[in-house]
Amino acid sequence: MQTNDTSVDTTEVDVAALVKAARAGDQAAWNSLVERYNRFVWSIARSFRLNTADAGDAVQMTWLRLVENLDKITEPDRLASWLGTTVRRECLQHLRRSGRDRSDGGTDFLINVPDGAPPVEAAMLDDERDRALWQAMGMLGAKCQQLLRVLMASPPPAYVEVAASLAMPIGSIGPARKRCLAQLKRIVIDDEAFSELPRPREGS
Amino acid sequence: MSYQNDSDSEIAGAGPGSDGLRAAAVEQPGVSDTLSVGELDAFSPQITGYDPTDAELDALMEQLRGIAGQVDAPLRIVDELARAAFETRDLDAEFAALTADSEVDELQLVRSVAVEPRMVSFETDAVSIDLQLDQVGETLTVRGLVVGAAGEVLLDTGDRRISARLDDRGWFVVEGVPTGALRLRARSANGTSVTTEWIAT
Repeated sequence: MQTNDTSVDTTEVDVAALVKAARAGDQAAWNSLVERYNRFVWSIARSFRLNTADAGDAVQMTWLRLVENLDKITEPDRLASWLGTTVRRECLQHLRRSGRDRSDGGTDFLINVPDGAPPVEAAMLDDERDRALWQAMGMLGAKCQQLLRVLMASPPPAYVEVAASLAMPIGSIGPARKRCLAQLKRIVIDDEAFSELPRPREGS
Repeated sequence: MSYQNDSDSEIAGAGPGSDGLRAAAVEQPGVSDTLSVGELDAFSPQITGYDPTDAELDALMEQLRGIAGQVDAPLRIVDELARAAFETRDLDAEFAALTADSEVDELQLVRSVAVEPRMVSFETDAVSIDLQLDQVGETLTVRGLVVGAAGEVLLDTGDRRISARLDDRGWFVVEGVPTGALRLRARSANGTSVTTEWIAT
């Protein structure tokens, strides 16, 4: 573990130390890795529109493969990128097996994949603005939906990790994020303006 | 069998077949997953109109993060299975890599739903393992031939362990195996423990 350089990103140092401890058999260190990255891995599975059962399988398989490869990971500080790459492959395999991906690569096919996530009505969002925003997400293009679903993981993933997870060039993440969020913002503004129009008649 | 150093510029230049981040251990033949640079234009149409500030976009991103945390966080069982995965660690076993998978082979030839049953093979220097996986309702019937081993074999499904006994010729059958993840463990004739790679079922 590096402790001599204060400029070193503490997150990276922690992850490398956790990987080292897990290699030595420390279940608590492993649990910390799960705590740190499981929402990121889950977000990627969801970004591929897997339903809850398939997303669960893809996420579990990703962690099983990490156990299998724990001693072969040469750069522990890039663990998130490894996890992202691995879960993407699991997701694509799920989609191919269920016949939902007839493409020759790329993710264009996602536009035809029904989203497996529970509908927003079932999500019980109390805040009306949150509900409107979540619904507006569904009006974005498939690639924007996928990118934003990964970016909204908690804690926020680094662009290099998002790039690895979606097989996108790292330089494209920032501009694509901006374009997608701006489009989402416009949808929300349009919806608000629409909802403030005088209603033609009473009721509902 | 490790992922190697690659700079951001290499990632940016990665095209089909040059994915520097590829982890050999999870390589899946026939699964092409690279998004080419040209496709990025399809991300979203440039709509003229309101031009939000960076601060507004950052706030929107944080609002989305908050919503996702409320309505689409991993289920507790997903966290539990991720933690429990650590218990599958087997330091002493020899690793039997996947050498054939009918599902992948079929998918490479014709992109269609796999035909049952699925056949998978694994090998080490001393042991060869062939499995036939039949989907029966929600579970699998696993028929196996293990050459170079004897006695008991264990089928792991990530959170369950099912034992079976090889017959005189190395065959076994197990019914009712949960789908999801699967690997097999055996003890070779010379006493070493052998563990196959995980496969998604």
